[in-house]
Amino acid sequence: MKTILSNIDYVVSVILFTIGLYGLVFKHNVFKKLLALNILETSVYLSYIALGDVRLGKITTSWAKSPYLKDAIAAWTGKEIMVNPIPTGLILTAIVVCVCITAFSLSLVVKLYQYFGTLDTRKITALKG
Amino acid sequence: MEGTHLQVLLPVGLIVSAFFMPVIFRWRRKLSEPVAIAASLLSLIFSWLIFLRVISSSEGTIQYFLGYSWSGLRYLPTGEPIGIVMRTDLLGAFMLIQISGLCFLATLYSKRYVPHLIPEEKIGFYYTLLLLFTAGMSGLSITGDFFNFYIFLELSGISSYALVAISTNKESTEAAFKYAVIGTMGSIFLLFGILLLYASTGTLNMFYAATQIDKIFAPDAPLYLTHFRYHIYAALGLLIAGFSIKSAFFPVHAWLADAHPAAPSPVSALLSGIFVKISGLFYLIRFLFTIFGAHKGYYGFFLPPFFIVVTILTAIGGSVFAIAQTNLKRMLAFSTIAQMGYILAGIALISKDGLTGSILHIFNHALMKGLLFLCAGAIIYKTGIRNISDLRGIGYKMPVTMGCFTIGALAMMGIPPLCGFMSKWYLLTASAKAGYPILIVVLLTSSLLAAIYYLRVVGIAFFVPPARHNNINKTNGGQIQEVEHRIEEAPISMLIPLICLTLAVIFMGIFVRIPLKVVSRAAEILLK
Amino acid sequence: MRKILMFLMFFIFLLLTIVVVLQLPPVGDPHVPSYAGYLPPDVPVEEITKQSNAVGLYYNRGAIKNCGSPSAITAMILDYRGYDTLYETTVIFLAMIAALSVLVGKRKKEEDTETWIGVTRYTIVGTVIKKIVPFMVMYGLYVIFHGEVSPGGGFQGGVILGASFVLYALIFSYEEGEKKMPSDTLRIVNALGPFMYALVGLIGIVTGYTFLANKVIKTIPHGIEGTLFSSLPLLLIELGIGFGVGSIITHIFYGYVTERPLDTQK
Repeated sequence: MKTILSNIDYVVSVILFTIGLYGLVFKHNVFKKLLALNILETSVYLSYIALGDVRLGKITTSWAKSPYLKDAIAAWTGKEIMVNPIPTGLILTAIVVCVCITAFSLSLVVKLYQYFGTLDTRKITALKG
Repeated sequence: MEGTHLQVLLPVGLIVSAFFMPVIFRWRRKLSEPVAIAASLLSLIFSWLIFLRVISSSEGTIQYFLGYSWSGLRYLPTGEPIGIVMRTDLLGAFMLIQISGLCFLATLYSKRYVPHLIPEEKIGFYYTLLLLFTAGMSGLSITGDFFNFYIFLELSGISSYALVAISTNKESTEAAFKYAVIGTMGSIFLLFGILLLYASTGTLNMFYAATQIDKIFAPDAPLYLTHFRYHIYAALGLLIAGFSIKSAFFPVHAWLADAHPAAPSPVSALLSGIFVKISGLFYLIRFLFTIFGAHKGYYGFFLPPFFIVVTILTAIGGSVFAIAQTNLKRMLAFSTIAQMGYILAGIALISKDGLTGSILHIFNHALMKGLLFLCAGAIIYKTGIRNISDLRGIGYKMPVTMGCFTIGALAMMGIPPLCGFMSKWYLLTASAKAGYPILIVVLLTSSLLAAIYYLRVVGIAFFVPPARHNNINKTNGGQIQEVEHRIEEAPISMLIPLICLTLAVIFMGIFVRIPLKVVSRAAEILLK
Repeated sequence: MRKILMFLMFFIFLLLTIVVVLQLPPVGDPHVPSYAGYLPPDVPVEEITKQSNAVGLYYNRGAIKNCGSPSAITAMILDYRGYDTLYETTVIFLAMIAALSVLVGKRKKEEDTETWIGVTRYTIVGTVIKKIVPFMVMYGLYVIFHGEVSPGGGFQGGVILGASFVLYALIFSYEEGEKKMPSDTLRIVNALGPFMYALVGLIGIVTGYTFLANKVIKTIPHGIEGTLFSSLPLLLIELGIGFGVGSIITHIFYGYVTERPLDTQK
């Protein structure tokens, strides 16, 4: 139990992954499939960001050199450890990829509705075999 | 050995020409095809220069470092590179020349083919997507970093979804939707696998991760390191799942049968010829052998039986479904699924001969399947026929096209002087040496089934006289006409790629030593 | 029956994955390989930053003096791993091309938009939006320019910039939006935005270093670190990405709006 609480980010991410996978496979409405795909992708982002977290870490700006930001949070935590910036940068790129796929899939959904008149994948059967 | 700037300039040049393609299409319509063809030609020249440089290097890899701006410090004290490294090894360079060659031929072919299929205003977008697809695939074979791999995979993947959907009719839209959803699901599995790999090795560079995994599996590793072995097993499982979806192995092959026939023919040739293999099997080889080290015995004896079961199902299942098809391109798509099974057989044996056979088959299949899809496209362009049973007597109307199709079909079946025979021979001898006679039976059965469905097409085309109700065109359907033996061949700019590929198929079959030298050296480097 | 079997498979998959994920080190533990390398777990936390050789710590330490930006994330995505961000911009461009290639079609201007503009311009929504849009544009430019010193940057600022134009075209009609931001200009900015990024990278090659070598180019003036003008290449890249992304978002919206329904095509 203690392990689940200390790894709670990963556990929630895996639950979301399974919910997304379930929605992708079992739901028949096209919009629900796209929403499930988004949930699937978002769960992986949550897991990545949890990887890069460091307890008692500040966010990644070096406060001492920048005249725009105050040193309050550094004084509050009392430690000089900075968080790992690599996963955050990766997730910026991955979020953009998800947006691209969603934009493209939505335009396909518009066309599917115009051709078939329905959003139910059980009725969209132009291909056979 | 030091890398060249061309490793970076190749994808960047292609994407810059892709950025300007909509603008060129809007302002000077006539310049858009020449610009696309020039960009592909330039990428072909660059890829040959990179390949020559890789061959002439002593250890078979070249490295290009990015991101070491200030101090010139490329490596940290532990040996880990800062920033992204474009590390191209011999296998990657070999894939690169296939990609550039086939993309150039497809762009040349599209000049006449595309205006008949797609409305006028979309042609600029078609060439943009084709250039971005080429850029993504070229980058995939050059890179040496996990996240660079993911972003190139998505770039080429999304371009391929859009290229399938661009001929907007009912079938294409439905096929593209299914393909997009299933392909994205595969990419998410890959991303999750990369997550677990990053969590246990702490680096995003592929080759440094290999040394870290060696430390984890070393016999004298301390306790906290052996704890990470579970993460490596889980990462391997997720990555194999993701790559299985991307290369259409048996249980998850459904998207390929819908997506590849629904695309325009040059795009089908590119998808079946290179995309499904580079994004799926080439990276499976690289992950399994270079990074995870399957040949070093870390995973016990679990992997070969699992892969052999998948191979049997894919090779037999693909061929059996192909026999039942009536649409020509759908039959070719199922044949692709069967050939993926062949390539997996070589990987499953984890030996030098098996890998040589697999890589050689990847190369040969790119040539053969590209040739077959382009021939099918020429037939569709000239006569509009998509079903096999309507192909009666077309051998007399389009002799060059059907001649090339016959040579491609004979090569797919594995007839000796053509290229398909050599790679199948390597696979058979490798499975005999490794002691899996069931693979020999499966591969020979699959070749026999391939003979059935390919010879059927060739027979209908040449040996069945055309019916009285000829001319199954869209304009005049079913008029009774006099049977004429006029030759109505496809235009020259569509015939040139066909003839080039046919000559390559014959040449690579007779002079098989030339690719074999490269391929066996690549397999040696992988298994070091 | 088949449904029950698949539910069971999903449940087993969920349990297995939870077991796998529980084996990972706790969230926030600094002894992970990505932060501490392969140091033994009994090294105290303050020593890790001194002894560890992981790349993440190198990015943190070197951000301000090697890349000219106090924010380690901006230094990472635009300088150390800047090659990935170039393809991220390409992927956004690809989103526009993919969406437009499926939806293309020009709507004929046949409906009467005069009364619609008249009605919208003088209602509450129209008046408020006309006052808000300049501030949105200003905020977008603020986020783009401040990308080096605080969270933000080209992508976020570009999306806000694009959203302001989309809002204008959404509330008043598409033709009004087209007059203010014509789609031909958008096509050119779509191309020039990411092209500026590639050009900054190519300057690195031309001067003899590697692609995207930002700080080592001695001939380009460097500003004072920590202020808005920290480094000229970074600023150019942020502007290119920002304007490119803004015009791409607006162009996607125009694509969705001008699409012709099926029966009027062909």
